[in-house]
Amino acid sequence: MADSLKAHVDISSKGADQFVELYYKVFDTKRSVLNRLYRDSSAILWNGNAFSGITPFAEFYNKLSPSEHSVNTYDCHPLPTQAGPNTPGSIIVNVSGTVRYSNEKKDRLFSQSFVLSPDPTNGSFYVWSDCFRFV
Amino acid sequence: MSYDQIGTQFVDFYYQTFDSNRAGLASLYRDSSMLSFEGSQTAGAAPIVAKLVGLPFNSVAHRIVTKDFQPVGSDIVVLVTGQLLIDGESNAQQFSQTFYLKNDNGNYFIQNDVFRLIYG
Repeated sequence: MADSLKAHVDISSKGADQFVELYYKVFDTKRSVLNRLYRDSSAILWNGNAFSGITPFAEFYNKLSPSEHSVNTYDCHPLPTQAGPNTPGSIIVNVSGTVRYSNEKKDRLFSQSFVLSPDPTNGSFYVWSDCFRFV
Repeated sequence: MSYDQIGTQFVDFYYQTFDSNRAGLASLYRDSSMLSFEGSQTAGAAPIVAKLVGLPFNSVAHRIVTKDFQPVGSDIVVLVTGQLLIDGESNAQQFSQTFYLKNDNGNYFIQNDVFRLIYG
């Protein structure tokens, strides 16, 4: 029991490492393909604004100024899942950091929570739910 | 009740209990619960409550600034940001906390809890 929990935690950690690095790099340098990390079913709350699905959210974030995110910390937990022992399940990730938009003079602190789900076709994670807040 | 209402009730209860009597949080965790507190990991209700009760301060007051809720199936994800004042200090620290509330036959418990102080 303990071994399979540890295995889940390890798989989740690697998944979170890859996702966090990729997410902010894409947001900052290739925002036009950020939509690949979401689905139409994704639930997004951006600083209190709700978007159901990637299409309305993409319309919104494409209007934001160019950004530079700096991640300070992130934590992840595996979520309970019925998947098999070697199949990653969903994970929850909490990120904090700072972001500088090109039209602003100061960095802003942010906190962001993701629930990530595995894509069965390629094992990568996509955003099931996303909650972003300036702090 | 909507997930917003359930989440709000839960958050209010959690911080009131944390600020007045941390041992009272025991009913909110189960054996499958996981806590990451400032990077330190604990699993299981009893170890988690022991960790929280053992935190090295006498008094704490949370001031909640934002609360966000999203449904995940019948479960709820919560993101809270706010400030906390420890032992009567006047300089508040900022924090962010994420909860995954699992629905167990209509009763919600904390399956996952991630707490971080935020330094600006």
